Amino acid sequence: MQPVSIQRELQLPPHRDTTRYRQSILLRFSLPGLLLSYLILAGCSGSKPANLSETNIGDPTDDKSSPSVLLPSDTNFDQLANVEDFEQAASKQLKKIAEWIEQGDNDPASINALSSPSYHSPKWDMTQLETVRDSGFKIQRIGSSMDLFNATAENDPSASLGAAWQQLLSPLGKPAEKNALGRRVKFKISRVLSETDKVETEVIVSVFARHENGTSREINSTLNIQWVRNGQKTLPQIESIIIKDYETAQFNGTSGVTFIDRTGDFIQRDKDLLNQFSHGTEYWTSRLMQGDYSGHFGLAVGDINGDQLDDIYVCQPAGLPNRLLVQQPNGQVKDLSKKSGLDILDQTRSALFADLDNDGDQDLLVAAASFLLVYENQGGTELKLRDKLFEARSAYSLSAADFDQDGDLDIYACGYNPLFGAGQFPFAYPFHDANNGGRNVLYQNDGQGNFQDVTDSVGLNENNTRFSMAAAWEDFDVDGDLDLYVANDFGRNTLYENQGGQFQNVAGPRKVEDQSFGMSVDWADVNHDGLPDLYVSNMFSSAGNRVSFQSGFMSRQPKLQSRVQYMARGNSLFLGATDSFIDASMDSNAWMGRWAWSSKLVDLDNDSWDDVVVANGYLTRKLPDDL
Amino acid sequence: MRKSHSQFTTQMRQGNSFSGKERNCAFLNLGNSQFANVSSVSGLDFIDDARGLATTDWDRDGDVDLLFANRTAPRLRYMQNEYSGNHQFVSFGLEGRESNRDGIGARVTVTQGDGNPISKTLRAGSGFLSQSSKRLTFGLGAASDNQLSLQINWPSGQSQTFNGIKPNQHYQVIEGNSDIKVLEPRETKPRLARGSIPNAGNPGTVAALCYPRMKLPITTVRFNDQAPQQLKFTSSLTLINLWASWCGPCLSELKEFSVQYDELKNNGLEIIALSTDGADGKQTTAADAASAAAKLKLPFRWGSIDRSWLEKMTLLRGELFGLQQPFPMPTSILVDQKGEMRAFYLGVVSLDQLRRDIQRLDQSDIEIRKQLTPLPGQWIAVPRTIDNLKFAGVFSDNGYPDDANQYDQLAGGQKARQFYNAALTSMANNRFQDAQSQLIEAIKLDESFAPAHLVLANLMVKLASTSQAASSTRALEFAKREYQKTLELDDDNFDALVGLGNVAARQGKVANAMESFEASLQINPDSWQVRVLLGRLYISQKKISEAMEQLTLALQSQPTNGDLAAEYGALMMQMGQYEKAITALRIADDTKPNDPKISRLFADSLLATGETKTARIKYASALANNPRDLDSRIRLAWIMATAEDENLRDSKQAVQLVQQAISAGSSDAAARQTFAAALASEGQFQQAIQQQSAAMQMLPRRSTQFNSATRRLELYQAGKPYRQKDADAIPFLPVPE
Repeated sequence: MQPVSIQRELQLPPHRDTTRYRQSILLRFSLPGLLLSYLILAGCSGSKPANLSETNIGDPTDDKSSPSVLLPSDTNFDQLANVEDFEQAASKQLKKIAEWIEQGDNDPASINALSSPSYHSPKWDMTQLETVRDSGFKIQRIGSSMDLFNATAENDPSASLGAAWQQLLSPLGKPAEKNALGRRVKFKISRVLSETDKVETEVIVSVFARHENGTSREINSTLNIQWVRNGQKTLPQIESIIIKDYETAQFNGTSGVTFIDRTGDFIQRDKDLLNQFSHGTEYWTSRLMQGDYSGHFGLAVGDINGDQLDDIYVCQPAGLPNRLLVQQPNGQVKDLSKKSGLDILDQTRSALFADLDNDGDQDLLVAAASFLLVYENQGGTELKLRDKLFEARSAYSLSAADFDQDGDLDIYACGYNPLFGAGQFPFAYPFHDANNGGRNVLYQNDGQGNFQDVTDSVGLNENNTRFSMAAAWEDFDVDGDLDLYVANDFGRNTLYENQGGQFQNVAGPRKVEDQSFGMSVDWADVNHDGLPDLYVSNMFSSAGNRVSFQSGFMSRQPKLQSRVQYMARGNSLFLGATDSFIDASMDSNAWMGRWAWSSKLVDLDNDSWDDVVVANGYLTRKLPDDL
Repeated sequence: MRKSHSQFTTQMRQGNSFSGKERNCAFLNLGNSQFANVSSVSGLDFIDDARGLATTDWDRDGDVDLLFANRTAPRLRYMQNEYSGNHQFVSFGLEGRESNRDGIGARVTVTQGDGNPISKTLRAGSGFLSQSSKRLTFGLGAASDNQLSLQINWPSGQSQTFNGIKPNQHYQVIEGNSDIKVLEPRETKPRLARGSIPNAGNPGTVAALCYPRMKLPITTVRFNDQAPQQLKFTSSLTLINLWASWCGPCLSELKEFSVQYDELKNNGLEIIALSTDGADGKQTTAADAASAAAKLKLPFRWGSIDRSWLEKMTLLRGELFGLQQPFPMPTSILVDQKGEMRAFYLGVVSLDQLRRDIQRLDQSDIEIRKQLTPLPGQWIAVPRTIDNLKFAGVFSDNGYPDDANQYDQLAGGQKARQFYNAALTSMANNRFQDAQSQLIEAIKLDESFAPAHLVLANLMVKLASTSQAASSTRALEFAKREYQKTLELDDDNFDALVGLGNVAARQGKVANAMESFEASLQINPDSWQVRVLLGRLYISQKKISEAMEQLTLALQSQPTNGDLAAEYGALMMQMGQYEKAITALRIADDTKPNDPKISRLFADSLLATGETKTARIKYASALANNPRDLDSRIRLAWIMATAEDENLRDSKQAVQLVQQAISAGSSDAAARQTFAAALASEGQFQQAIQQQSAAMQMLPRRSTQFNSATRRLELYQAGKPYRQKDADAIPFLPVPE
């Protein structure tokens, strides 16, 4: 008589149209931020499917002429393909320079062949760099007095590509003989502006070098490199280089780098832990027939046994036990997963330590595929499964806060994928503003650790079917209650302002919608003005930058074009202000976080200013990137 | 578009990287809203596919260490902060009292001398899939001042201030406690050796029990140049071994199998070797396989497979193991008599492993699932079953209709559930016709799927109540059959019994209905809803004491259930038991103050017991919630016409109300008596007498109602209005028996 309860008991799979199954795989493995690759692929594949045009959910403010972002008819795919072809060719040339740098070759002539006969560039004197910081880290940048466009040097017959790179690399010091060790170079071509025979590219350069004395240095620079095309068969040659941006950093400490990996000793070389963590996710999924290779498995830090030493709970893919690693007096960990009853084999994405019943010990929430599990601490390190919350099954990130200020912790769980009805439309659509994802849940605590889904009644069902990766609480308006920021994949983020236990989305007026591929969120006062600032992980895509800035890309939809450009931009830093937030991402230089996942604002060097750390990288596999 | 989707999916499945080898980043805050890139010199720029990131001052040396959870190996990194400059720190642990115990949401502000205050908020959960330490560590720079002040704004609203806080200390603060404690120093200072967890690199043979088990794709083999034939599995277990003449390890493995074959066969294991020569794109041909097999003198059967089978297996590998590539050589697959795959060996399999696995295959899915992993633990969810429908789709999409058909048939039951599920969604969206055809489709696919029968029956009952008489009758018959089928499949299905009773009741078959309801109560004696239904049937049969018994039992189990209390109250009203009624109806009204029907019933009971004033309010509220409630209109008019308390009277409005009700269709004796009373109260006695006489024509003579009506008529004839007396029968209320 109660369809809903029958559905629950049987745990039926979502209705799925067979023909759409393959598409839905994309969603299941949660490949976020593929818009741009789609555009490229879609360009190769032809016509627009009827089912997509029927369900257009485009922004009404966009030009009406071309409703679908998926296959824009106003895009010149030949131009895009041309750009990508050029990028491939130029990358081959840059790779030769990278190898030359990594080998520590002293001879500039080795790379001169990569330049065109008309090569010219100014001379750069890197001893003129301005030191902007010299405690702990030494940071140098291009000073205002430096002449980057020394015109007289243009006719310098000694100017050569090799000499230019020697100048650029000079802060690294002269590589000692046979000391190529520890040099690492990465080029990313982030813009291609093509004319008939000349092409201008923007290239992001990172170089890292270790010195013999143990210290290390890195150069991060953005260059404008001009190329001359050499016909179809031969690779392009460099005609000139202009510096757009240049910065070097050195760590002054004796350890060479700031952080040292000590995990081997940390886990006491425990055999099982070694086995579990020394193999990648795919090693395990290939054995356990639990095909989720996304690797979306997180961790929680908390003091499970009240000894004032932090402990760790690590979430694992299906078939591998989650681990409770309890800190010993000597700083190593002891695996107490089994003893604690927390050796869960189900697929679990994240966990949260919290005292849910206010009895002075840490309970644990675990976001498993079939339930949100509530474990109650029985004292010491033994926990009992107390409740299985159904609404928030398959959740991604968890967070807790006392939203209603009644003295206990309530739970917010992000639901990324839709749990039912996915067959209707099995992937995020439209990619720049998808609102067909999973439902986030707010559970209210009755004070005893019993939870009730109150999402709807507190107003949090507004904008609540986005692809939410993560959320974090902060009293951004400093009115004494906690507000909530939610990072959503494929589109707009939400900032729910708490007004006496009722929430309203103010991301629009506060200018923090950050319409991109939101992956994570953290808050801190990074500028010490007393107002909380916001850092959101997104996805920097050099391919996205190359393609979306082309004149032939969505030429009739300037708004959508700039939106796609924004989506490829990278991470966002929003500075708190009394009215709306201020987007400081580009000015602050903290935006290039690559394909970012968890980001944290944390003071790495105790100078009182919170720094940024970004965990990133999507899928590293046996075959190289194809896209 | 679809094509590009699957192109992309295939690329992923084939093991392509996507934004791989991206190094972690770190940006140093320069204090002027500018950051410097220190990704490499921080030592954090591993090429890991990193996901989780948490902060903790693990070793409690005053600087914050980092923990990474990665997708690639090593999947865990403890990164110790080796910053060794002259910067100072202070850290705080919080304990809420009025606030939540963890102090989550507290805002902690530290001020050094004249410097800007630095604030941090304690959070549970931030970043992605991560939670950081609850100890808040503040960097202080090269602190010039040895005195710090501390302010804590607790989530409870309480605020505390401390002065004289010292740098380089770890403090513990309890909400509302003016003592601030310094943590005891650690006994040992951690000294962990350098070195990560190694990346274990490439594995040897992958051995995997098949969970959940699934059927092997159709396998057509050419044995000894005979015509190709479909492989049948006659032994309790068969090891299908993929080999090729060009594959050295395959040949040694076959040799080993040959030596041990007798023993394996005694244990019930058959071996069939399938050569990929000529099908795998290598130079060799089936003839090479034949000569290799002859040389090996294989004691078991061997044959050749074709290219399409290898392609199917590649698709299968993509779905099962997330890697859409040909199986490595050799690969062996253990298949049972049903043709279901039970174990995979990607690489050379040892006989020990085989023997061990064969022992394990008799176990239940739950046991097999336990043994999937070499690392023990506990499962929370129930075991999965294979999604045959998915495989049907995959094979269909790739041009293997026979295999698609095989999995489609296996998926019959699953597909039925999908239709069923879709029907539930349709019903939730009021698309009843869609739901009906989806349920019929589900039953066609799997006739033994009881929930589909049940929901279809419920749906037909629903449709019966909204359709024309003739089709309504057919719908009820349809519903009855579906309930009966549900019961055939599941003979103690409570919902089906109740439904059957409902249908019988609607068809006027009271005895059948009662029988079904009684039977359902055997299964679930606590169902108050069934007792209510049963009670109604008893009432219709004038078996009042039986009805009372059912309702009383129901109410005992659900003393605060508003609907039930209303039902009980209505019955009591009907029986004239006003005192019992009023108690129950008060509960009903408390739980559902806006239900017009309950408001009216409650008002009736109030009126009957002389609480006229409250009754008037309740009738008004019933009317406000349902302006078309004619009964309440008349009742309100009655009070306005006849109340003893003149503050409650309003004869003008009473006339108006009752006229509205009459013109809307009320024409019974109660309406006319009310009209008469209102007219009399307005002094229009002639018309009052007319109405009253008409009403009396409708009342049985010598009944209590008739007698009361006569007394009122006499008053009107004497030119007096009527005022309600306790002893008199109220026209629209039943009279106590």
